[in-house]
Amino acid sequence: MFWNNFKYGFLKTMRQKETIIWIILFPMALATFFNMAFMSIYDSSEKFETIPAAVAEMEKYEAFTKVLDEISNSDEPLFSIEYVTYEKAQKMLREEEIKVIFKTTADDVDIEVKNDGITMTIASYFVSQYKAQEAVILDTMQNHPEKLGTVIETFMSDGAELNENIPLTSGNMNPYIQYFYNLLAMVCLYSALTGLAIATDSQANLSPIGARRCCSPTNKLVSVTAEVLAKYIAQVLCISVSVTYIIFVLKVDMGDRIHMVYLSSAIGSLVGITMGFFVGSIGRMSESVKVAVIMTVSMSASFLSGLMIGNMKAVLAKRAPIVNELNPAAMISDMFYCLNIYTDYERYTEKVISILILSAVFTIGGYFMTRRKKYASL
Amino acid sequence: MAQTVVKIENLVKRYKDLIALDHFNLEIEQGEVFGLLGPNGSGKTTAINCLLSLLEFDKGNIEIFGKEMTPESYDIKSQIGIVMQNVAVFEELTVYENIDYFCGLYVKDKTLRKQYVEEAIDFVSLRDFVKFRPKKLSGGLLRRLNIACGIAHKPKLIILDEPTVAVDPQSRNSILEGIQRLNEQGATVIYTSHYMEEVEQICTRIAIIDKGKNLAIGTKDELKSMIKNTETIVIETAFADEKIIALLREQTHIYEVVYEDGRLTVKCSGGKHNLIKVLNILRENDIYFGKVYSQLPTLNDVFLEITGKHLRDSEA
Repeated sequence: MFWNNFKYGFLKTMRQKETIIWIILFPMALATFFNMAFMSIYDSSEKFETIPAAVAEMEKYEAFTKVLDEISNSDEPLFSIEYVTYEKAQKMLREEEIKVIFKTTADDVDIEVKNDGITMTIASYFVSQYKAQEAVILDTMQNHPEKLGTVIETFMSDGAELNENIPLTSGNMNPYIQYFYNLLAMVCLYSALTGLAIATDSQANLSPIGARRCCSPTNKLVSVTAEVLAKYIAQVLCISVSVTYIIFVLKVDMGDRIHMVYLSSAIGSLVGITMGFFVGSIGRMSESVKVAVIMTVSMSASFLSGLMIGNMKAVLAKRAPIVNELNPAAMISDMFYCLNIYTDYERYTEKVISILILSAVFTIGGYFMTRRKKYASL
Repeated sequence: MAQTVVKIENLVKRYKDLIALDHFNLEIEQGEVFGLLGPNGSGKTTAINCLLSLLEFDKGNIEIFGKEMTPESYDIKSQIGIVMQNVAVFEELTVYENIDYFCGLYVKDKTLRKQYVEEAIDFVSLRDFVKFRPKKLSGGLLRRLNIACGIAHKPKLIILDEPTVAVDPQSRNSILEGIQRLNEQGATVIYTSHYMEEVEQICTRIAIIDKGKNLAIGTKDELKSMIKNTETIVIETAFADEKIIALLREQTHIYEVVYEDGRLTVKCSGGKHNLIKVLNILRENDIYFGKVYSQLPTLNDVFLEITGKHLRDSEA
């Protein structure tokens, strides 16, 4: 029974025109367009080197500015620093003379960037590392002054590692790459259309096929699980075609961990499928209404993650970070971003866990709503 | 004595204030082709859905093959075949794959399933269309596929809920013949329809349902014998005044006379040679007439007399 449902669930998905159009053809077309529109811009004008930055001292924060000065005077500086007033710094940021403002108070630093996720990440990482080390040193000074030398020595040796942890050159620093991340995120969310069909075809009150299946001796949990699995695998295969096209035909550089890009697409598809299954299981809305809900959610999520306006996610990170935390499209595109930017898997793993949790919530919710075996009306 | 296949007792189903089934009772025995006849909204499909344990109901008991029917009664479900009113097949699968898929929900054994699928294809005469997708099939062929998907696993009880809706006469005859063959092969059949001719043609017993109630059950002859009307005489004539109508009404066995649109309709209850008597009266009174028809009661007459309305009139 499981195999029968699995086999035909897979066949159905692979033969659905919607799957071919939305998961393969549409992203290929859009990726081609993005490639033509954006990639040459970066190659000609925006390759990352040193980040021009301004320090606006509202109050003196000497320890921090000393570290910044040291960095800006090194051989391959991360930042080139200019000390100006806050107003002047804002003007320079607006006019794109600089990419980041470090606004200091006596014991804290605020960061301001203009529409640039990578600069924001690097600057934030730099400041957070600095603050963490400063806190440890202050604590050691107060409580264990005898160990201060050892701590500073350790930090100095870690300092080299700190620089290595931000792979400024090994990843693709092209800010327009985010459009491809968001495109893949959108495709993952479109998997929801497939998930919706699972719910519709398994409930007697939603479709004649659902009614026919409910009359059969096959346990609903078995048939639904088989279908989810089959459609998920079919979906992953389809999205892999799109990823292959983007990486190997368009030659978009998505980092050197290509196998992880495929894996991330598969993980992203999971949240799409389960979201569709969840929406499909809600109430007795018609299928067309549910399709509209899914398309609206997918498009809105993609918009908020920056598919149409590149800096949207950065704006939300500043003004309403919770939106990014809950937005599945942002989670998926962040996965690709982390893969490209960070050599370690710490942040990537965080994103994966968030996606898996969201998928689990959708799956459990969907099962809970489709578990019923008798209906009040058909 | 034949085994009772379906037993429904005092079934009550409400949709808020609307009572869809009102203490509905039914007993169907093995080997019957049982017809549920009633207008749209009479409760036929609701009764079927309750029987299949798809719908919750407020009160009553349902037994199939002597066991209580619940959503978890997989052993009972494995012996039931259902052909829904709406076509329930997958657009992405071919004719063969659709039948194989739905048969696979019942039959695990691959070899046996293959044999059953082949037999079902031949049964509904879809051999030439096995590789077609549903959207390439005509309405009649699609209905046949729908039936094949419901009966491929060789169920002992087959429920067909208006399987001939929107089907051309040729396909309809083919479907009805097929149902009779299934019955001959040993299946008990429940057939719902609002087409009297179909029910009259294939059903061994019939229940007339209206407003969720079972109004009458019996063979078609038993049902016809339940009503007053035994013969309806229709005479085309250009003239029939009150005097002749009154004269006809005075005759024994004639209980209703109506003259409308050039047609004199005379309804009789019992008696012999009613037609000759009526024609003699017309001749004696110099009433000239054209065509003359004499009709035995139909299920529509039964329905009309039991419910007070025509079956077709009450659709809508």
